[in-house]
Amino acid sequence: MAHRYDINSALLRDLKVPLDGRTSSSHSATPKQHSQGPSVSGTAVIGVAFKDGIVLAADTVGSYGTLCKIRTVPRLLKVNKNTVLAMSGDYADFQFIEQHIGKQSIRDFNSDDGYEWSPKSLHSWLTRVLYNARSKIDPLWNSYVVGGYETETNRPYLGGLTMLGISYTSPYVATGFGRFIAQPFLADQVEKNPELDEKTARVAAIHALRLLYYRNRESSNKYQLAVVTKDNAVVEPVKEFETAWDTALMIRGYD
Amino acid sequence: MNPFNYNGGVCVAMKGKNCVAIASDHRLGAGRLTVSTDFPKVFEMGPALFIGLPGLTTDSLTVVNKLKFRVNLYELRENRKIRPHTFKAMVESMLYERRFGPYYVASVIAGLDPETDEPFVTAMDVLGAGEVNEPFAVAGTAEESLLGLCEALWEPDLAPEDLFETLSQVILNAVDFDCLGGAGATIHVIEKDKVTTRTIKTRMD
Amino acid sequence: MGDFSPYDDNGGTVAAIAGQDYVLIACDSRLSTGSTILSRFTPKIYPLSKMTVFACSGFHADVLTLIKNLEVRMKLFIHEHGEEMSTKAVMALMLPTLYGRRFFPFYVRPIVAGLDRDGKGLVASYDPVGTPEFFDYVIQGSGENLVHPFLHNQIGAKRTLSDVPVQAPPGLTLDKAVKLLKDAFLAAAERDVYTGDTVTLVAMTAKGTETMEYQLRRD
Repeated sequence: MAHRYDINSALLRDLKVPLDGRTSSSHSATPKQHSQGPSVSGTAVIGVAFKDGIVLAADTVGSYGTLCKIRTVPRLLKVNKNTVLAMSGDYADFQFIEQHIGKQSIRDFNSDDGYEWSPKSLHSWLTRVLYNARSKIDPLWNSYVVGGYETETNRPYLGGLTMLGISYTSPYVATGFGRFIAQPFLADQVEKNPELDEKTARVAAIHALRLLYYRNRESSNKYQLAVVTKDNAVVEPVKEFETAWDTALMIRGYD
Repeated sequence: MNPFNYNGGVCVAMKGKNCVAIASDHRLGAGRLTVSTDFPKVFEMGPALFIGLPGLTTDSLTVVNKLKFRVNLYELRENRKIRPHTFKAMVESMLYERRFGPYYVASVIAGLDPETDEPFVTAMDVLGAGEVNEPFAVAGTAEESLLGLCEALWEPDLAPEDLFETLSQVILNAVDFDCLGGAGATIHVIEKDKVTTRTIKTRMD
Repeated sequence: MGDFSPYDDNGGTVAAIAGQDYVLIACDSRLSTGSTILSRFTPKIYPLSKMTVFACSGFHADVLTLIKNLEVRMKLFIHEHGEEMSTKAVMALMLPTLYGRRFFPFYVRPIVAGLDRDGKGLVASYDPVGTPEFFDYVIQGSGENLVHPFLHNQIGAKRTLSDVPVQAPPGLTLDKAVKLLKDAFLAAAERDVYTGDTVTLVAMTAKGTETMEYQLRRD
């Protein structure tokens, strides 16, 4: 018997759509696409602990690839009077986290049991959020620096956190490009002077940003500082630091 | 298969006070099969100069013959014994000649300078990249174990007997963790006017 | 883009020795990713109870998660039984905890060390999916290959030709064990780039716990 031409099968074959409406196997070889990279993103942030508090510092650029898409965007978040957060990486994911923290803070407030975030508890909670996201292979594309004053131990707290959920504490922290450029400088400062005071820490933080600005095209000299001391967290307004490019005139061989 | 893991074997050398020692294991394999348990990989290049060549055995034998030829010519032309430093340069340049089709051997050299009796050890990779400022040199399939043991057990100014004991412990315990090495070991302790060669037993599995 | 990996290797070395009346645990404090150092101040030993500690190298996020799981289970145990879990019970708990993630494993190399009810030292080590092994001494992590033969030489094997016999664990005093592990970490830090900064030694006896810290190479 001659083979009967089935117009439906032919159409479906050409369209490569099986009857149940799902994409055919050749299409579903890559199943579900999650976020596979950052979009608008912030570059390095840094943190330094001093004798009775911590400083976080970040510039204010939101980059889209190599494009400086947003010049002034806040990358430091005051969570409460003891706790601040600095972000680098995908800005949209940070905004999601920001809302998440806001909701959780309201829930804590409504409990009216006197509990609120401490830097340590925020660090731990954020680690869980990032770890759970990575475990679903749907990561939040951020690195964070969590800082503040731990009232329970009466000591400053400073910690870092990567997108995979690797968290750690250190008297100096930097993310991304800052790990190469800012962290060695900060380590040197802290080791020379373990009893750093606030003023020196601020100068060191700003200078670390300056070092980054000289070498990292994604950064700018517009920056914000957050300073936390006992019962006082301040995210300062956006400022600009001085830079010197006169030595650039002496560079030869690249023109 | 990786040519370094085909025949298997290790070499290690150490500096002592006015002496050096060099050792190798005895196993010769063909993959997981042990072909011989009497196959040391250290070769004599002069009265106080030895080279260990773990790696692909066919290349080791070729390299050792070529080197012996070059050393003989050198010593005839110069009418003096070759210095370990010079020999190292000779091995390096010979290996680097084959930069894009190397002999699959790592080299460990140990010797005393014929004029000053200064101890000398070095190790180099297939391309002849060597390091001369270390008190010990390792190569072969148990490289990491040897290195860790040397770091932990070596101390400065070891007398010949202590150097022998230290080096024995190093090679013994390293090859115990290496499936591709072992089956005994030979240790040469080189002093000003004598070389003491001893064979030690290790696990045979 | 497009090549996201949920795993990382943060390096580091952990070791433990079980004595007749003590247990000694050691770790370095370097946390690295690729060729960069995240922190020089992150020891890999975590106290679980008065009698038991946990030490772990591998992927740090998984280590932290594993610790959280264990802490929860141990707290539940206290509420249920009115006493802390014994070291042997913690060792038994590791297998289901790790095997529960058989198809998305924790990328970790854990050691559980502690004292049993008679004050005798116990050490167990596990592979990432929970296979347990019980040892007198153990070393795991990035410096493992360098230092394991050394510990085997000094503790496990009776191989010296000299008159003084190497002390096997029954004769191995705590002081000697501390010296051995210190030497082991100095050797590892010398040649393993992922091990360094400080070595932390925790000595547990029936009398209590003592923590010692020594500087290692920082390069």
